[in-house]
Parts: sequence; structure tokens; C-alpha cells
Amino acid sequence: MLSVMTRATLLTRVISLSVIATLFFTVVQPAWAEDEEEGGPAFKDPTIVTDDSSSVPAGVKDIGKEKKPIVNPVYEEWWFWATAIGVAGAVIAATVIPFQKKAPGCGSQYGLGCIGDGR
Amino acid sequence: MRSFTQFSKGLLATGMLAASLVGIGGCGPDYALFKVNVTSSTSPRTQIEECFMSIKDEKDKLVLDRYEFHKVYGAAGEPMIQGCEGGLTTDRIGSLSYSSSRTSGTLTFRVNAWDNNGTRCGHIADDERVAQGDQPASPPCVPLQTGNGSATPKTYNGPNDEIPVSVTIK
Repeated sequence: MLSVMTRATLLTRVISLSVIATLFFTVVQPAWAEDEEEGGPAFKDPTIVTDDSSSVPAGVKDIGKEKKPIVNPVYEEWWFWATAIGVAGAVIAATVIPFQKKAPGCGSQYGLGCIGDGR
Repeated sequence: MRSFTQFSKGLLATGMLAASLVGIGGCGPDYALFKVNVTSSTSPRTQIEECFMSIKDEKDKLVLDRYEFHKVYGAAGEPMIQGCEGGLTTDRIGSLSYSSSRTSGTLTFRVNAWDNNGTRCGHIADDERVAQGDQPASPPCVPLQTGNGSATPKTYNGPNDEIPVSVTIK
């Protein structure tokens, strides 16, 4: 019986952490997406032929010419690593530290035993 | 400005994470604490070999299955202090602490005292076999003595919240 409850507690904990992680990455992800939108070039469809088209489609001409370096990569930001360390620490702590409050231990007056799933 | 926006979002995400973890920690399940006092009111206690306790909830579902009481012996020549054993069981059998993650409903504590037939019966009484969908044993499995006590769990916040339960087997 006790082992069943322990598994249930573990399952609840894993589900909770999954929800937290989902919420976390939902907030963080748009910050990266905005970077790309603000800094990147406008998209050109290489298959469109325009008035000044040569033998090479306009979009294709750009391919290989410009290798745009990554500007301000997120992994060079201090807050990214601070957040990553914080998340990793929180996950480890949440896994190791029991959430359930524990009943106090028993003295010698309880000679028949000291049991229960609250311990 | 963009860095400030990113920093703000990172801070918000970290805050959400911390708040969620604190929330989970604060919402951890409570527990109830029972002090079960077991006594025996009638003879023949000299034939008692072992005592087992089971606990059921208000839906008659087993919460604890056949817990055997510990035995506490006194000095040589002194009576047994707590527990059940042939020829040594006193009328005050002893106390047990039980903590439950349940803080509502009703728990029923049942104590069965068995003589030598307990081993043959697997310490399962016939009424318990029937409740589990099995046939009664032959010859019958009937405890020498049996007793029940019920209590309603409540959240334990301090020594005054320990719930006393009395079970008298007879």
C-alpha cells in the first residue's frame, strides 16, 4: 500500500514539473522569436520571377552570398544561463525535497509500532 | 531597450517558476495522526499468539492490511510491557501511532488476536475472506478475539490534534 502511494506521489510530482516547464518555456520562447523577426532579412521566395529577373531567380541569387552572423545569441546573455541554472536547481530540489509534510517520530510509549503513509 | 525587454521576460519566467514551486510546496498534502490504544477485556488471553491490525476507510476499502504488532518485553520475570504473545498478553496490550495522508472520511481500526490457528489461516478471518470475494475456510478461520474502533481524520498541526482511538478486543 505504501509503495503504491509513493508511486502516486512521484507521478503527481512529475506532472507538476511538466506543467511548470511548459509554462516556463512558453514565456521564454517568444523572446527568441522576436530576435529573429527584428534582425533577420525579409523573406524572398526564390521561385518568383520579377521584372528584372535574369537567368537566375532573384531569391536564388542571395543564397550563398550572405552568411549573416548570429547577432546577440541568447546563449551569450547572462540571464539565459542564470535562468538555466535556476531551472536546473529548482528541478533537482523539487525532485529531492519531499513536498509532503511528515508526521513526527514516535517515542517508546508506542510499543506496538509507528506506521502510516504520512511518514 | 530590447535587452531590457528580454531581461524582463526572463525575470518574469523565473518568477513564475519560483512561484509555482513555492505553490506546490505549500500545497503539499497534510496528514492526520492517530494514537491507537489497544486493550483486551476478556479471557482467554493466555491463548493469544499474535495480534494483527487492519484499517478500512468509509467505503470499506482496505487502507492497511494485516499489520502485526511489535512486542516489548520487560525484565526477566516481569510481565510483557506491550504486544501479544501466548501467556504474556496483558489486558493493556499497548499503543500504536498511525499517521494517515487522509484528512477526511472515516477510518475503522480492527484488531484480530489469533491463537495457533492464525498461522493456518494466514491471519485472515473468514468475514474478511468473504469481503474479498473468497470462500470461508474449512475449518473456519475465526480470531480468538477481535475489536474495532473508528475515528475521523483531521489535519495534524500540533500535539492537541492527535486523534485517540480505542480498540478493545474481546
